[in-house]
Amino acid sequence: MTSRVNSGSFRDPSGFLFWQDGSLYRQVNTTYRDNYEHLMKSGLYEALTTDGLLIPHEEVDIEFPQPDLASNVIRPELIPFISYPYEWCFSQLKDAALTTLRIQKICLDFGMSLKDCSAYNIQFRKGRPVLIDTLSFEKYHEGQPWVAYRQFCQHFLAPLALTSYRDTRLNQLLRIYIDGIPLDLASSLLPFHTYLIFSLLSHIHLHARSQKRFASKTVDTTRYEVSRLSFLGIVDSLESAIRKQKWQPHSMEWADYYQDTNYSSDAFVHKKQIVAEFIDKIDPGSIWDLGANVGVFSRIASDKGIPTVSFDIDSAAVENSYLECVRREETNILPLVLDLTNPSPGIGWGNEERLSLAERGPTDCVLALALVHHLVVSNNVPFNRIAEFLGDICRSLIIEFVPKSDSQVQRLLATREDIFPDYTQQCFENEFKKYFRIESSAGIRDSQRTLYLMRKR
Amino acid sequence: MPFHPYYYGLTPPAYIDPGTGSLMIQVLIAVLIGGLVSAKIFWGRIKTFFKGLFSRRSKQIKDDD
Repeated sequence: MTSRVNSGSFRDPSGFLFWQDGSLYRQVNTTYRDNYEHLMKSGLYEALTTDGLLIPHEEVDIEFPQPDLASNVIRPELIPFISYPYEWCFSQLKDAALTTLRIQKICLDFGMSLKDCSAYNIQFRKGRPVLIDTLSFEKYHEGQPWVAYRQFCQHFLAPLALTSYRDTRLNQLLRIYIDGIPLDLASSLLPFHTYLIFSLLSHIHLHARSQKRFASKTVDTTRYEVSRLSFLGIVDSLESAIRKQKWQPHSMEWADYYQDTNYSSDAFVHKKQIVAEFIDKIDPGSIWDLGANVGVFSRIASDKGIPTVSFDIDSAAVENSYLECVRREETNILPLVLDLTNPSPGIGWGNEERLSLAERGPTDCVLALALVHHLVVSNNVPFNRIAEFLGDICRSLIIEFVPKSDSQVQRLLATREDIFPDYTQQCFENEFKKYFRIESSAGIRDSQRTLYLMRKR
Repeated sequence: MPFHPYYYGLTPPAYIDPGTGSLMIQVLIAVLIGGLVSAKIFWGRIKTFFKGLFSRRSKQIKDDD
């Protein structure tokens, strides 16, 4: 029996996550025992798990991986796909922020407080945000300030304000700064008129100034107290600040895609039918839909009860898809922002605190519909590199080939020289056959396109 | 002088650095917000007092009629 400590679980001395025999466990250390018992006995755990705000767990009796530190071991419910804040759309980050603050308010009713506020502690479970770190709670003592205040501002308020007042692409700064966007950077990027908004003036601009002012000073911070009333006031103020952040996508690269395609409604219906048949044949346990747009084809899978991650490069499309997911109370689909030509890398300590996309795979099945021509023609990625990458991340593949004669490919070629003599259906099949076995193929009615079902060799 | 256990090591120390600047601004915001909340509560009490006073008076006038 071997256990392996989770590569991203080492900062908090309260405990750590580890894998053993294919299951994920969390060791609770003796230094955290009091807080853990308070969480469980005060009714806070029950209140949070009943509301779906905290990941449920069960206490298990197994050998401790680090017995000299151990108090007990718990087995949390497993999240099907771990996603990161730089892969979330605006409303996902906003919902994660509001969930964090809601938890903090409930905590105070039970005499506890959140001791960290990392956005990485929030995951999407059955379509809704949930706190996955069971050891994030500490007993609250009247007068203590909120130790996670800085972290909340950096992980949530700063990126949301930057999207709201500047550009949603600035959310990608979270990929560079693992502990949230530095507030001096956020302050310098936000427009001047945000100084006139009290919440942003205080929680970002003045906060950044204060950090700079006290950066090299020694101050006896124990002299300062924050009353319970003021503590709650700060949480309320942050909540109001988060609620005021709005993002209305202006330029929708792909969000209007289905209104702008060249195939008929008959072809569209036929394509959906073939995809559904192929999915039934594979009967996968999980699906990644690459280039999913607003998730029309992802929903064929998720509506069948298959956990589906619906990736697209366009934040507006992902935003629409997520809002649809919330509106329909969908539990099996997770829309995420991903640039497939530069997918999420491993980041943090040793490049392994947050996993790369490939490390979070392989998935049972990948959908790559109307995708390959974009990768080849717009990004100069050869067929063999695409086939190799897809072979690394899935066991089965449903892929669409769009020939050069198709008006969508012609449109991509309209502004550039055609340097793709090998962009033919024959070359496509030859390259993919090196990594996959073609099990089935079907032409889409009323179009020149072909859908393939392939199995990994 | 504060007396809660936070300052005397009776609870485990925070594993993340709250940052001195962040703590100082938090205290400042807390004072402002605490003041505003107290003022709001106080104003609410004044309003309730006068409302009660006027409703008693109007009731008395009605009774006199």
